[in-house]
Amino acid sequence: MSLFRKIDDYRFELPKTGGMRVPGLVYASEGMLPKIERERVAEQVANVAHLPGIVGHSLAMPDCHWGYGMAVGGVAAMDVETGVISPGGVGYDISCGVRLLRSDLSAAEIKPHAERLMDALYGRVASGVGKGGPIRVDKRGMLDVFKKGALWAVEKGYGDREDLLTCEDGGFLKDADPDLPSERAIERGRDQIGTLGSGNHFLELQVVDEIFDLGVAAVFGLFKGQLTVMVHTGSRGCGYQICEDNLRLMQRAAPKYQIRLPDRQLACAPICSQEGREYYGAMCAGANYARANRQAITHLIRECFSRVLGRGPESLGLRVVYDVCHNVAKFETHEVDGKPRRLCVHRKGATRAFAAGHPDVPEPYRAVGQPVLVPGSMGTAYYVLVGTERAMRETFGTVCHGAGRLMSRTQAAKQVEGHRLAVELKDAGVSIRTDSYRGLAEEAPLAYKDVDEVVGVCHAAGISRKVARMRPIGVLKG
Amino acid sequence: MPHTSEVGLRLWGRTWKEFYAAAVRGLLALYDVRRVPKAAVRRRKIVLKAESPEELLVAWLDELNFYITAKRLLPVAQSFQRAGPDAVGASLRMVPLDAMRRPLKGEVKAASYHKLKVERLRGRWCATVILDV
Repeated sequence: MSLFRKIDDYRFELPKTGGMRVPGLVYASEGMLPKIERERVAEQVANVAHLPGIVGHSLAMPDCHWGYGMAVGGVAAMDVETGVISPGGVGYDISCGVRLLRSDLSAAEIKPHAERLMDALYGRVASGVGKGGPIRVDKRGMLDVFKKGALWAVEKGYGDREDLLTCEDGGFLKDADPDLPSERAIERGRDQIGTLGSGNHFLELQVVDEIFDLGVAAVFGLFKGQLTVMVHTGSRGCGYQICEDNLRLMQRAAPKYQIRLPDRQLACAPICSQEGREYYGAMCAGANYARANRQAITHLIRECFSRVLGRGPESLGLRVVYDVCHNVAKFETHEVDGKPRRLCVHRKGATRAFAAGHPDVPEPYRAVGQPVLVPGSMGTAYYVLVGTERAMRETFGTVCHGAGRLMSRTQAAKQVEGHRLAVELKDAGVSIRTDSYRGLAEEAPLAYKDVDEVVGVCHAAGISRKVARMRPIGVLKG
Repeated sequence: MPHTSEVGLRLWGRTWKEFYAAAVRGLLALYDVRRVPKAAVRRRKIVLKAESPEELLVAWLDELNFYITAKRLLPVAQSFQRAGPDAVGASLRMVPLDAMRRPLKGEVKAASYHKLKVERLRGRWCATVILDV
């Protein structure tokens, strides 16, 4: 018998049982549900529903899958006065996110230069384990990074102020406390600005192959046949260390505040406690590091394009469509039971998707809504969606963050040979650069859910609308 | 141990020393380290204390991972001065990552507390730990 109660074709409720304070709600198609049930998503959604101060539902997006603590694709909103904040509800890669750059170039224009461009990007944007990039920052500089995020990068000449206009939060979180990250977090971050990392992180050249909403796409500056560049990365070792340090502290905080945890990874503290406030301040600093990182990578991308194409960055039109993260906890006001409430919204592998008119949507997009960037997997599709009013009402303005994994890395690597996959992708018109073919195999498209179906559920459920779709032509895999 | 998005390690050892040594081998396996080149070895001492074996195991794995990802040093051999449920002290021989013939696979972000329990089963210390990758 299913654990879920069907509400409609795309919504399945996990009824309140035991110590759950609210029910769970999973967005999925009927076809996706058996896999979600087989995994431990229901258990993880239920565990999160035990946390003090949770409001509405413990949510899971259609790309959800088994994580640690909170499921990947999970969303939980906590009342600021009675609720808790949990590093496990954010994840180790604080403010991991996606940035999309548009260009004035067409796919046809870039084709003769694509291989050289990929070589240049591979040489300039470091990827892989512990690799440093071309940007080194001293301790004092790190405090500035923590405070100013992408603005720090722009002030250092890595981009311009116009880039920040279309970034979530204008490129940095104002609540960051630069003094809170540990010495070790500073050490790990000093030489990793402008680097991708590994795993599912990537830098891709893509082509817009479908426009679903001409009007909104035009506002976002997207057109069919256009070359775009997408970057997926986060706060690197610096963010992992901030999460590690605070998770350790939270192990003590939970018993201190008599919080019963269904899973130690969900260790948390009241939002208003010292531990809660300190985690939030440090997390914001880590988030700003991630935003500085994506801004620095943007600069390196522009350098590569200019060098290979022999044109100035202005004439290439490489502008930021949007930069949005999917691992974060943020204070936001949402309507609950007809009344506005101040909430701490945890999104772990879930993307903010605010509707038209919301003051946090960048001014150039406010009339249409916030862009949402949803990567698929290497051989498939990538989407730009737009936030909706329904998402504001149902999901605290949140939607999916990708295709979502379907298969373990071990399983994928057993089924796919990395070098062969690279050749197959090349034959399909996707040029690959990677340090690790084993890592490439682990990220094979078959290891992921069908992104078209995931996005289709979000669209049909009304929690976002499709705007444009891209296909990759070059992948630099972390 | 398979996990949809992350990776899991099943660790066991008849003694605490064997248990912590298994964690070193497990971490290296996640980085797909098969052969370690002969290179100038660096020695580092690690001493950790914790309130529970679970916290200690997470701290041990995170510490080793810090050396790999931040110091770019690969732990290849260790001798324990102390090993127990609440403290571990070891001297580690480490090889610089730059000496490796091929890049390491992937990056381990951290060890998690998810469902973590260190327990004595059939005369061995055992645990399953999920790591974020």
